[in-house]
Amino acid sequence: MSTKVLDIQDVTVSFDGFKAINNLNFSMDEGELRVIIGPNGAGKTTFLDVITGKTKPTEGVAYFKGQDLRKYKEHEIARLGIGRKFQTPRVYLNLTPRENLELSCNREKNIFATLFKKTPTAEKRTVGGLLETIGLDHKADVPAALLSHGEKQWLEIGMLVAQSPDLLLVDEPVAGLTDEETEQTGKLLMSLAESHSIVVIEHDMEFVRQIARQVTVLHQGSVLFEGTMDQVQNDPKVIEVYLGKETTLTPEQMLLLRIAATMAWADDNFADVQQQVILDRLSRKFAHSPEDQASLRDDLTNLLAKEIPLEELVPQLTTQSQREEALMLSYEVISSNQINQSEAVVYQKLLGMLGLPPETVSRLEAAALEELAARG
Amino acid sequence: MTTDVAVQPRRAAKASQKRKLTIEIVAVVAIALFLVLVLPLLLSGFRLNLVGRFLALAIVALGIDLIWGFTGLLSLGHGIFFALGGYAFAMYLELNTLGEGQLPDFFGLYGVTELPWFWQPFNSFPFTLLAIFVIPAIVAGLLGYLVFRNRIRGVYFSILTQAALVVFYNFFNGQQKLINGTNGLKTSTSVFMGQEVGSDSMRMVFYITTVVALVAMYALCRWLTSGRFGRMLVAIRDDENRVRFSGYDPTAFKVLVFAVSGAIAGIAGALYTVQSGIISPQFMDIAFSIEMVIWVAVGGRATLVGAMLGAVLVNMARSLLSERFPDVWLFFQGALFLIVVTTLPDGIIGWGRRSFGAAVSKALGLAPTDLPYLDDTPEAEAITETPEFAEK
Amino acid sequence: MLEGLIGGLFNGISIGAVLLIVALGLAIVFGLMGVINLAHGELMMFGAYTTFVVQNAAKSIGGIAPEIYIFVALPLAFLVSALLGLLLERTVIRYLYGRPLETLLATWGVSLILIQFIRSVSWPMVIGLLIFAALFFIGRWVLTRYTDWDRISHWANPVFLGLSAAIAAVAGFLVQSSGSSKFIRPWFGARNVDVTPPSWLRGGVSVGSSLQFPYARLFIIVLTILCLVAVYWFLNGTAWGLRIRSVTQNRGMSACLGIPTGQVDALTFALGSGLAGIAGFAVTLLGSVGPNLGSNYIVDAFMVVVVGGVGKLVGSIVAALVIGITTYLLGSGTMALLFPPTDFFQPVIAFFNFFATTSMAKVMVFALIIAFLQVRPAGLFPPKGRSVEL
Repeated sequence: MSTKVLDIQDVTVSFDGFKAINNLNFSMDEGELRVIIGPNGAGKTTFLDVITGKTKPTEGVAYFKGQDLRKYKEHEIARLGIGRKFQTPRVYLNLTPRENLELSCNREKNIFATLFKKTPTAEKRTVGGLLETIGLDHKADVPAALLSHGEKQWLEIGMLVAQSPDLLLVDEPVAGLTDEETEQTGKLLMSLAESHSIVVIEHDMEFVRQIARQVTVLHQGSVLFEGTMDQVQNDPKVIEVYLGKETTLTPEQMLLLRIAATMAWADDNFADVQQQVILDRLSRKFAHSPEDQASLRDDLTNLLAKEIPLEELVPQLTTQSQREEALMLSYEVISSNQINQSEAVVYQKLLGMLGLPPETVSRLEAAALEELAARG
Repeated sequence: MTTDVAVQPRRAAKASQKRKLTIEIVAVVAIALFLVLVLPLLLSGFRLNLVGRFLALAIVALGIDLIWGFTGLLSLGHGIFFALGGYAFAMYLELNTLGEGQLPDFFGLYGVTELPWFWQPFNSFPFTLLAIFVIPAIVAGLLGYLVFRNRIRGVYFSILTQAALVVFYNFFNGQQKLINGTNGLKTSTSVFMGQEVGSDSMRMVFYITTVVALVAMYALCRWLTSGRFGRMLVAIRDDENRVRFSGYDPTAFKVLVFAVSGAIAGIAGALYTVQSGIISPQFMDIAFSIEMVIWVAVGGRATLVGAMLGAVLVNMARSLLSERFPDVWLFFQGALFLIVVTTLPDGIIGWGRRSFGAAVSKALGLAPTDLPYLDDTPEAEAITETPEFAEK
Repeated sequence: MLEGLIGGLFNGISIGAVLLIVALGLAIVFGLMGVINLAHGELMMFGAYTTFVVQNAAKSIGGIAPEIYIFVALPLAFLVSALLGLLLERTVIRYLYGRPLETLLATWGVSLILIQFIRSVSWPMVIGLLIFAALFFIGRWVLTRYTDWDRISHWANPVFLGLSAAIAAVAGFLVQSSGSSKFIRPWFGARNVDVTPPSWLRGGVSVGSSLQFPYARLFIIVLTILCLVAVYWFLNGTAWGLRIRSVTQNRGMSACLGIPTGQVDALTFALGSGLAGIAGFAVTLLGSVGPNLGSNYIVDAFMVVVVGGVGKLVGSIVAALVIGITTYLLGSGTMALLFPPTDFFQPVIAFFNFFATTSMAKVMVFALIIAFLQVRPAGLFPPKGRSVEL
């Protein structure tokens, strides 16, 4: 049985009756990288506050490797092996990156060791290595105040690593970073995940997709959904929370939609007519009243504006009929305007992945063309 | 190949650091020798006594700088510790002057016939020597512990230290029967080591002791602020919560540094008392304690030299101005507060560094170092520094 | 026994009322703006001296004037202190927002200047100041109009300041040495001055055999309540009050919504300072007035704010009353009387007797405040929620 690195049971945090966290249950295994998402005010940061001891739970217990965290103060929890990176980078502005890292790297954190002991050579070497990892070796001895925002973010992540915690809590590591820096940060976190358990809170979905294996969605202080990124993106409850209204789609329908959208995107041009096809097809199938169709259109524009690799989507199709449906819809979509080279390539790829028998494929293609013709 | 390039500047920086230390030691010794050997020849006894007092005040400034300049805690109550040190020494002197079994004169006025219990230990000189800095340290440590453990900080801490000051003032002022109340204890006519405290030779002894103590305290503060501990203090000033989440307990560090600062003030108080000839509750006046802060601000906070320089300069200005134009002094002092805070936040040293720092470093063959004092920490930005509350 | 208790309560409440009226302005400035204004006591002193001036004028008018002068003095004290506060905010504090410790030091500097100003203000000094103001501002106006001010301001400003100051000082000095002794005498001097309350505020209501409620104290209690109601109404019932509250909660957001935060700051500060003026007016009814008036009240008032917690008026009210009543009960020795004088209680009685003076009561109250802060570090009514930290 693997030990849970973090186990949170029925935790409630209330401020003057307002429940920032409401009966939250959460657990994660050693070595896991977990991403937590959720709309503003979902309780994400309070969740980290509870783990790090900044806020004590009003009810419930939080365990770190079996130890009850309620008994410890912030610095004691940090010494247990939990490191935290804050939402805005918080580094010591009047110290240099090297000094920043050395303070975090220090193993003996009581007063007397700080007073009388010199920094051991081993620690100095660790710090030197870290400076290189976070790309600040050329700025190691200037005050941190002079670093850019991205460099400060990285320095703080470096400080976290220097602490060598077992569990890293990272709050919005890519807020305010450029795309390139974001990707670098993702890589850094992925490599850290090989030896640490990590919780990441993030808003940037692109980034979440890059790093996430397992995602937890918080809403109004409790866990709304837990699963892979794709499951999350197709879950109607999650969509409702993010879009702020109910959607009529089921997860299966959503998946179909996405595949169709990917096809439409294949030539880098989501033509109106393609959108029309998807819409028509789905509305005839799922939404009957004009209002339903209108809301479907909204969902579409919100959800389909992104290209997602087929490799992730197709394996989620479970039944034969779903696969057939997907093929037919896709063919319809690409046929709705001139089929060009790139669309053809993607379509072939889809065919290969679906692995349907050739006679079925030709039957479906014919049916799809019929559909198109019927619509004029 | 690449490592060589990286190592080179580090090695140069190290050499420069060593050189810096040597220059510093030479400078400190030279100044101390000048103060002890040359200055007495140049100045009259009265002026030398004044300089001695200013140097004693420079010691307090070191303590203030330690907590304010480096750690970011603004204490407005250092008069307490200053006075405690002074009272400790003065009580010893009172008793030392008398024969066995006699009581200090003032007790007779209030009908006290028996020496109060807490006077007894001050018959012993070793105890007194310890008490001069241990008692202020304990009081500071206790006050600091009670305040810091609840995460009370920023202006709240400042207000509470000021309130503590008023309370101590009231206490000492109101207790005629215990400590002679408003009148305080006179030391100038007391006897120390067989001589009158106010005599010229004794004054010279105290003057030299003050210089030695100043050098010692400077060395202590230098040691505290230069190593890992010093960086820890700066880290606490920059972002206390970050320190906490890095696994350090800032409360312990703050309590310790506040206690050390109190102890330094106690030593200064004892030396000042014997050179001025009296200790009274007036040393716990609100204005005096805030003034200590402005000495540091004028010189340049977070620089030890600045703190000492500021203390000496402001007090010299004070004795010059208040002798001739007593009315102008308060205006001047008020303006000093305003100007330093609004236009010279780094004080004289900071201004000097910015203007001549590079040239001086170059002349001495040092690598340039310039740490800006930045105040834009998240804490400072938050307008209300509400202490966090711990829900239990 | 009952009479003693009621008497104690009344005295406690009246001490609390004075504390509260002093702390009210502080609570607004500190609670809403996070500014520690150490010159608050001196603003109060200006209110008190305004009352003194009005009283003197009333005396020289004679007739019914000395009976009703307080109704002129009250708004005038408010106005003088508010204007002074406004000036302070615009010239100094505005530049120090977000740096509370620096603000604290700067306002201390201001308080020193104000104290010395009251001590030494005289006609020659006023003339000198007017000359300075005239030279400096008119001169600057001319320069900004006819020269490239931006280019020369870095050296012209200090030179100009120095020049006008020097001329003004010389002029003041000349007036000083040539004027008659009456003319050059300081207006108030360093000594305390007395304000005589109107005759209808002297004396008091007698209840029972030993109880006496002085009119002056009753008047202060009523005044405090009126101020509280007015402040509450202003903050919660007017457009400007709403703006003040919104700036308190989120300065950046308020600015984005088009609230003039600069004006709001100035207004809040002026309001707090004006309340200090009213407090100054109130304490003239209790005793003589001197340049050091402010420092007698300021520390206690800050304790009220610390105990009450930031941002809620009700906290300040409760804190002021509790501190006032505790101080009185301890200081008057009432506590010692509560215990039967048996041997068993002797140590307790001795303990309370030790603290039974006004100054020793403050020692005890401070100890209690520190003890209280161990339980409620953020005061009686702390702001709740995920702490505002980033």
